[in-house]
Amino acid sequence: MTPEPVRAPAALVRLASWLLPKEDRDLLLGDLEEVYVSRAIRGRPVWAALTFMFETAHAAIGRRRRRRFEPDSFQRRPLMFAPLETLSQDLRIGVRGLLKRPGFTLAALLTLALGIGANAAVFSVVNGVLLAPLPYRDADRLMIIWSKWRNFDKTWVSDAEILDYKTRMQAFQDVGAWGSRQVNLTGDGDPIRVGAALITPNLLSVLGAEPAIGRGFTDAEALPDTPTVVILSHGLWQQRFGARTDILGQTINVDGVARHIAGVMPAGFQLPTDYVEEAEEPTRLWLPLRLDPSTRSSHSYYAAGRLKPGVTPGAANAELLSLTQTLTAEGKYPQAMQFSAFALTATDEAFGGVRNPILLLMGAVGCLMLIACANVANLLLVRADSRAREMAVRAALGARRSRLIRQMLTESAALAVGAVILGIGLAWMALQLLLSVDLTPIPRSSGIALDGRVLLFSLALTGLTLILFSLPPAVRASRVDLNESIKEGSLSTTAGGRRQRMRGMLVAAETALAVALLSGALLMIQSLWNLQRIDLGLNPEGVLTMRLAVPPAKYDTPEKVIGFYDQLLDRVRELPGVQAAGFVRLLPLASTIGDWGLAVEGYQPPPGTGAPGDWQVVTDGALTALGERLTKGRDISAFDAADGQQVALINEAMAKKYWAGREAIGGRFRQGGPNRPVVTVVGIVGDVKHNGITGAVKPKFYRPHSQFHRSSGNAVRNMALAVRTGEDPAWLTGAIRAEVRRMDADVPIAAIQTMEDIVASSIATPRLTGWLLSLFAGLALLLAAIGIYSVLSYVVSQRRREIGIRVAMGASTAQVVGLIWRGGLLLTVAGAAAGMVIAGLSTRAMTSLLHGVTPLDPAAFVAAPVLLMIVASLAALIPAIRATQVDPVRALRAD
Amino acid sequence: MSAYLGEFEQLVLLALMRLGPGAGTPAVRDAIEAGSRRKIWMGAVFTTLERLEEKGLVRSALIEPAAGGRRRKTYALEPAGAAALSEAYTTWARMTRGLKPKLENPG
Repeated sequence: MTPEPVRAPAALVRLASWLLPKEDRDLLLGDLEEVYVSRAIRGRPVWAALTFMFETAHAAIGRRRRRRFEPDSFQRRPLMFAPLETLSQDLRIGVRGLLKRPGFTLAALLTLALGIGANAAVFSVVNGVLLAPLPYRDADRLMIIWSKWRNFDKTWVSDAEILDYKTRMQAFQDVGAWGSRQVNLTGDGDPIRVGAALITPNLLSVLGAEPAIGRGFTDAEALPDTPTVVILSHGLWQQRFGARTDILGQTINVDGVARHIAGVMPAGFQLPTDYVEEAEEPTRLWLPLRLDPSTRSSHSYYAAGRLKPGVTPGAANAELLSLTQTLTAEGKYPQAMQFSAFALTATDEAFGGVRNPILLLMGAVGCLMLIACANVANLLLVRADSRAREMAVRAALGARRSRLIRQMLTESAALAVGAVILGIGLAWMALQLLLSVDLTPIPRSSGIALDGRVLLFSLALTGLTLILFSLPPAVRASRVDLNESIKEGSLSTTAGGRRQRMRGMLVAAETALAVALLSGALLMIQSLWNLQRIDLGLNPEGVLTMRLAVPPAKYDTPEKVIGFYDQLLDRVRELPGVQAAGFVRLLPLASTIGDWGLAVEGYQPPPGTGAPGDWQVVTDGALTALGERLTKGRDISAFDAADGQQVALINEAMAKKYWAGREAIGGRFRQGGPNRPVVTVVGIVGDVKHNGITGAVKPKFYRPHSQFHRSSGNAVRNMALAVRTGEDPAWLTGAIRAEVRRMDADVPIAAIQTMEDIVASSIATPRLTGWLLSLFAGLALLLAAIGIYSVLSYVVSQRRREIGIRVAMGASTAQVVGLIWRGGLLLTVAGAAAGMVIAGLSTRAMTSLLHGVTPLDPAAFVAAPVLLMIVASLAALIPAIRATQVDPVRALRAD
Repeated sequence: MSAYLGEFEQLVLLALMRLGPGAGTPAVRDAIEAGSRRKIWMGAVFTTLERLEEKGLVRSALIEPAAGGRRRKTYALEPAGAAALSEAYTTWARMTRGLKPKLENPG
């Protein structure tokens, strides 16, 4: 088979074929594509795309110009086309004027394109993530219900609570629930481990979603001892069953149990928790769940309620609060537990975490666009001045003012059209870059693309900015004083004071915006710096991780489960390059760890509270592999057998809390009921960040995998392997996979990633936000510097004569430099001061994104204006120095 | 006497002469870029070839595409084109006779 031929991206080709003249579009495209391919296969796709666009633009302009001078275009058109004729005349004059000043045109074009490109790129993120509808009917009436009590801000709900909310609340039409887990699919093809959820039969109707094929669950199917059924996600159906339509009633092997397929959900369907909580491994198949009314204290499910029409989320929350107070009054919860519940709308649940950063970025690019507009308006003002005489002549010859304005607007519009094409090209490249980063923490990042809505947004934005940047200069320029302009009859139709002031204000305004952006960026950078210096309590370097699960049907006793993992561990340690290896129940920062109520000897919990500890289960070697620190006592060892002394490690937080002032080593606690064995603490481990990089570390204990079933009844079947290696992790993956297959081909491997990737993705959102904000601030700084430079350059050219006189009168070089430089600095100082005010008012919106920095952090607020002043001074210095080169004799003789 | 040739036209014709019949625009461009050490726009080459064809100095052929491709145009030097180049070369040779030392060491 021949390899897939390299082709130019379809979007580029479409854009190019739109630009190129019809007559020889096909031939030109063929040649351009050929060049693209020859560059792309040399491994430089971005360069190839860039030159493709430039070549296309050049060819398009050249070809069209050539056509224009062919005889048939000179035929006279009927009079009724007069307005069009004017337009095309304006356009021709405009484009010719733009081409005649390539420096001005390029600067304006690039400035606008940068602004439009940044906006289009960020808006496509907004569009793909925040604006696309959730896959639920009337999603605004769907609420996700969470429990809350002392020390727990947002956690799962229990069976009895769900039933209470369903039967005792007025606000909700219905309440459904689900709980996530991992299952093994075996049978046809490789065994795979997929995210799955148990769902109550009413959940789909609560969510407002229906299977695309087949049906949902019936209440009877949730009862025990009924025929077992399953619903598949669209993706799983395509991947595992090749999208076959005769799928209903077929069986699929889930955790060793054959289940009949009842339905397939439509493409794009996800549970509300798949956007954030379960984003790493979204659920892909669903099993029926039956709630147990007698279970109240074990909180293990997510719940969603559908509001009755007309009920507000606020009312639902008020009712939830009063119901939970009633439940406490009924004695179902201890007073001191402070049990309550709250509900978030599905949208808040899915996007609450990223809405702020995304809106922040949108605000930042909005600022950037304003700065770009100010710069271009400035350029146009300068240009309008240099054309004052032309305008005066045209007015004298009878051109009406509206005609002059239209002429200038047409020129600006031509500029804007060029900028929007270039800007969308830039946005396309920016998105390619952005999407090459791992965006798992951003829900629905797969929906980010340059679609019609983004193009429409860019066009609207361009229209708006066109008015912003071009109307004021056009109106100004058209207000010509015939007498003055023509009478002077010289080159020095100098700008009036008012116009000069307007330019100064524009520069001050963009400086202000740049300072505000810069302050925000500096805050984010500081925050990132703080995040990266947090002690995680482990060493992620060179650690490979993956998840495994043994099917319950085959591994039905704790001995079989433990035996499998022990044997696998021995084999993995034999592999070359492996320095340490071990299994843990949950990897830090990759998953959320929950707690277990303990009875700690010698610790009397305050009334209404217990002694909870996050429960980790480990084999020997796991701590070494993860680089966790044993601060006292001994590690779990291979000799901690099921029937030996029951042991545990605890973290420092647990030692501090439950053994305050006592020796923790040798301390004892009981996990599970009174008939469960007593556990002795043999070691203390340094605190490890588990549920997030910034949260506080809660008490946590580590039990040996070989003993854990003595306290809980069951061995843990789903474990994560951590391997510390000096070798290439990719090589090790294959070798470990082979060992697993050799032991049991039905055990799947999932979520293969390095610990470094896990740590990186836990701060991916702030890192991405920080980087982008810094990029935008950098661009803003650059644009502001260009603005200052261009205004001062113009001032110098206008004041040549004055400077010449000053030099002739004996002004020193330093005095001339100072004269010009001071003007620039004044603008900057005024702008920077205003910028600090803007920043002070707006950085408060960033509070939730910052770690270890306050929104009014003095360092950022000093550094931002100082940085800007330095850049601005440099930008002002160039024209100031040029002013000293004015030759007084020539300057004076010029008139 | 043949038609007057502009400098760029000469370069294009020379490239065609070097490449032989069947060269496409990209190949001509690459040849000129290699020889003149200049960045050349595709559009310029395309337009020039078209003009030379109108003058009857080159001829073109349309190559029907393989499956999924696009039509391509290839070019070949006409006898008139070769004659025009030869004329230009002769002029150049006459005008440079005896000037070699000065041309190789200007200034």
